[in-house]
Amino acid sequence: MEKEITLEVKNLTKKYGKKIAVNNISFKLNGGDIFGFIGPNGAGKTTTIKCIGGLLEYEGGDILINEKSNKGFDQNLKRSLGYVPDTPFLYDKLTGREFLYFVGRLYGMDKKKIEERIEEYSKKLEFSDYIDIRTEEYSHGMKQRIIIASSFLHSPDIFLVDEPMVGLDPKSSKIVKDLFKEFSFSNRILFISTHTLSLAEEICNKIGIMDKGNLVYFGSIDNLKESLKKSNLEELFLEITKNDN
Amino acid sequence: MITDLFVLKSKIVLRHLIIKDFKTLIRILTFFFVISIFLFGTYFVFFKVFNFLLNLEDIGKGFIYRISSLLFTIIFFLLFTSSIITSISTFFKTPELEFLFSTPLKTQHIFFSKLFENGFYASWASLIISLPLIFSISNVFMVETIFLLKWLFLFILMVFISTSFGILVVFLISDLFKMFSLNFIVTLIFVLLISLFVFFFIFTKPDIFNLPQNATLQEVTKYLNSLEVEQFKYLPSGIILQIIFNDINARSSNLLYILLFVYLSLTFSFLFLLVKIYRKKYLGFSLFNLSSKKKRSKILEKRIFSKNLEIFLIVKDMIIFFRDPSQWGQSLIFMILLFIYSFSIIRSPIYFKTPFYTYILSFANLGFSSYIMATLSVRFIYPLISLEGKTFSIIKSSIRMENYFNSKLIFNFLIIFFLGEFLIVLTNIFLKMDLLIILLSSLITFIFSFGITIINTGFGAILPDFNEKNPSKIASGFGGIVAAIVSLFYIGLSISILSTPVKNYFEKSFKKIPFDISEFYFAIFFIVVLTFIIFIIIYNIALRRLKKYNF
Repeated sequence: MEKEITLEVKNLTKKYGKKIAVNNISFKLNGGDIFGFIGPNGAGKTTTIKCIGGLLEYEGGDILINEKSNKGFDQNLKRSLGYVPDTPFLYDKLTGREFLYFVGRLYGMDKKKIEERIEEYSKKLEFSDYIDIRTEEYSHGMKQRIIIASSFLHSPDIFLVDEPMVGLDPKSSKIVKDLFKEFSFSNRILFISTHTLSLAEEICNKIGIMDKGNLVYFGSIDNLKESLKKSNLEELFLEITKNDN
Repeated sequence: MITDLFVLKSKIVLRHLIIKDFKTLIRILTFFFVISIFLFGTYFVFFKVFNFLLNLEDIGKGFIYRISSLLFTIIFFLLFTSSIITSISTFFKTPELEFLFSTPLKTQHIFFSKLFENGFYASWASLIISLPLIFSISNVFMVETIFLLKWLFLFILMVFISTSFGILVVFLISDLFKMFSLNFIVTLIFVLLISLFVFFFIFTKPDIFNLPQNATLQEVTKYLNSLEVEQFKYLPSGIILQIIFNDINARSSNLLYILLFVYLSLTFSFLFLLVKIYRKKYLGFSLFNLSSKKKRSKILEKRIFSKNLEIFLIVKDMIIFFRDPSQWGQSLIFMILLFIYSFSIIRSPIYFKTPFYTYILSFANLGFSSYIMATLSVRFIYPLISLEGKTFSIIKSSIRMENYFNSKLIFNFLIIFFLGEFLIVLTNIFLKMDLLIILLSSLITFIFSFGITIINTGFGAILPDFNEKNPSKIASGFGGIVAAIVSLFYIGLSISILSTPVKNYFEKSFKKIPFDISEFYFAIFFIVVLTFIIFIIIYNIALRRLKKYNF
C-alpha cells in the first residue's frame, strides 16, 4: 500500500519584529495535489514556503509534513522535501553536473542512481548541452533548470517551488511547465508560489490566495470562479485583492 | 556528507586558480607576485632587525621578545576582530546557508564547514605578518626545523582559538540583529574594538611610539618594558610566544601548555554549545527590521529637480556610499590607519637630524601618503562607474558622456586632493620639515591627486565590471589590479624624478652650500608632463569606451 503524503499548515503565524508577515493561516494538501500559492508582492508567500521548508522559525501554529511536525526539523523530514528558492543558489565554480552530483550525495543517493537521474532530467529539462560548463557562465534560465533538477533528483514527497517562471524565456517556461504537469500523475505534492496566474490556472487543482499575510482563499479554481462569477483567474485575483492599496 | 562538503569547497578554491584566459593569468600572477613581495619583504625586514638586535649585548634578545610580544598581541586582536566581521556573513548571511539548511546535512556539518571557512577568511591577511615573523625568529635563533613546525602548529591553534572567540561574540549578539540594522551593529562592533585597542596603546603605552636614540641604559630598559604587553601575557598569543622563547632558551613550558590546554578545552566547550544552538540562531536571524518605520529621505528628491544633472549624480553616489556598510566599514579602517600613522608621527620626536635621514624620512612620508591616496582611489574611486550597473544605460541616455565623466573626475579629485593635502601637510609639520619641503610636498600632492584621479576614474571607465555589485570585489578584480599597478608605477616614477633634487637640497643645506632651486622646477616640470600625458591618453580612451557601452 502506498504511503499517504500530506502537508498540513495549522494556524501558522510568522512575525518580523512587530510586523506580521503570515497571520494565522491554515490549509491541508494531499498527495496528487498541485497547489498554486498566489498573491501580491509582500503578501507572505515566500515566508510561508520558507517556514514549510524549515528555513524560518515561526511564532505560532504548526506545520505537519506527512503528519510529523517540522519544528526541530530532522534529516528524514528534509529528505521528503525538494525546495527551489526564488533566487537560485549554485556554486559558480562547479559545473551543472558536479552540482547535481553534490546534491545527490547530500541526499544519500548512490552514484548509479544519481547518474540515472541526471540523465533523465537533462533530457526532460534540456540542459545536456551545457551540463559540463561551469555555472558562472549560465543564464538565469539555465540556472533555474539545474536547480529544479537538483530538487527533483531525490524524488521528494513534497516539492516547494518559489516563483519558478521569473526570468524564464518561453521555451524554458514550457519545459518547466511540462515537468510540473507530469507531477499530477504522481502521488506527491507540488507547491508552487507564483505570480504567473496562467501557470496556476493551467496546472493547479487547488489554489491559495494570500493578501497581507492572510490566506483569503483556499480551494479549487472552479469553485472560486463560480462563487465570484468571473471567467478567469486574473479577474478573480484582482477582485479578491482589490483593497490591497 | 561532511567530506563531500569539504571536497566540494576545496574544489571551488582550487578552481579560482585555474587559468582560463589572459585576464585570469594576469590576476593570478599579480596576486602571487604581490603576496610574495609582501611575505619576503616582511621576512627580510624582521630578519634584518632581529639579527641586528641579537648583536646588541644584554638587551638584544629582550628587545626581540618584546617586539614579538607586541606583534603577537596585535595579531591576536586582528584575528579576533576580523573573525567577528567575517563570521556575521559566513554563519548567518551567505545565500549558501539557505541551500545547505534545505538539504539533509546535519547542523554540525554545516557549522564545522563554516568554522573552517571563517578561520580561513579571517586569518589569511594576518598570515602575511605572522608567517614571516615566526620564520625570522626561527632563523635568527637558528633553531631546529622541528621547533619551527611546532611553532607553526601552535600558531594554528592560536588562529583557531582567536577566531572561535570572535564567532562566540557574534552568536552572543546575534539577537541584536532583530532590533538594529546590520550596518549599525557592524559599525558599532568595529568602532568599539578598534577604539579600545588604539586607546589602549595610546594612553596606557604611549612610550611604544618613542624610540630614543641617545639614551641611558635605564631609559632603554624602560622603553623595552613598555613594549611588552603585560596585560595580555595570558592570552593565547602571549602563551604561545612565551613557549617559543622558552624553546629558544631551553626552558620548560609545562605550565604554559596547561594554560593552552585550558583555552582549547574552553573553546571546544563553547563551540559544542554553539553547534547546538546554531540552527535556531540561523533560523531566527532576520536582517530586516521591518517593524521600524523609516523617515522619508528628501536629500535625493531635492536634487532630482536640480538643473544640474551632474550634481544629482554625485549626490546619488554619496547617498549610496553612506548607505552601504561594506563601503564605510572599510573607509573606517582606512581612517583609523591614517589616524594611527599621523598619531605615531606626532608622538615621535625626531632624533635624526642628519641630511640623509631627513631626506629618507621626507621621502618615506611623501611615498606613504601617495600610496595611501592610490590605495584609497583604487578601493573607492575605481568601482564608481562599475557600481552604476545596468542603470548605466539610463544615465547614458540622459547625459552627455563628457559631462558625466568630467563630473566624476572633479568630484573624485576634490576628495583625493583634500585628503592627501591634509595628510601631507599635517605629517610634514610634525616631522618639522622646512617650509620649502612642505610647499613642495603640497604641490606634488596636488599633481599626484590629479594623476591618481584620472588613472582610477579612467580605468573605472575603461575596464568596468557592470555585473558585480560588491565594490570590494570590483576593486580586487582585473581592472582594479591594473589601476593599482598603473597608480603605483606613476607614483614611483614621479618620486624617482624628484629624488635627485631633494637629495641635493638636503646635502647642500646641511653643508651650507647655496642650492639652485631651478633643480626643483625641472623635476616638477617632468612630473607635470608625465601627469599630462597620462591624463590625455586615459581621458580619451575612457571617454571612447563610455560612449561605446551598450546593454
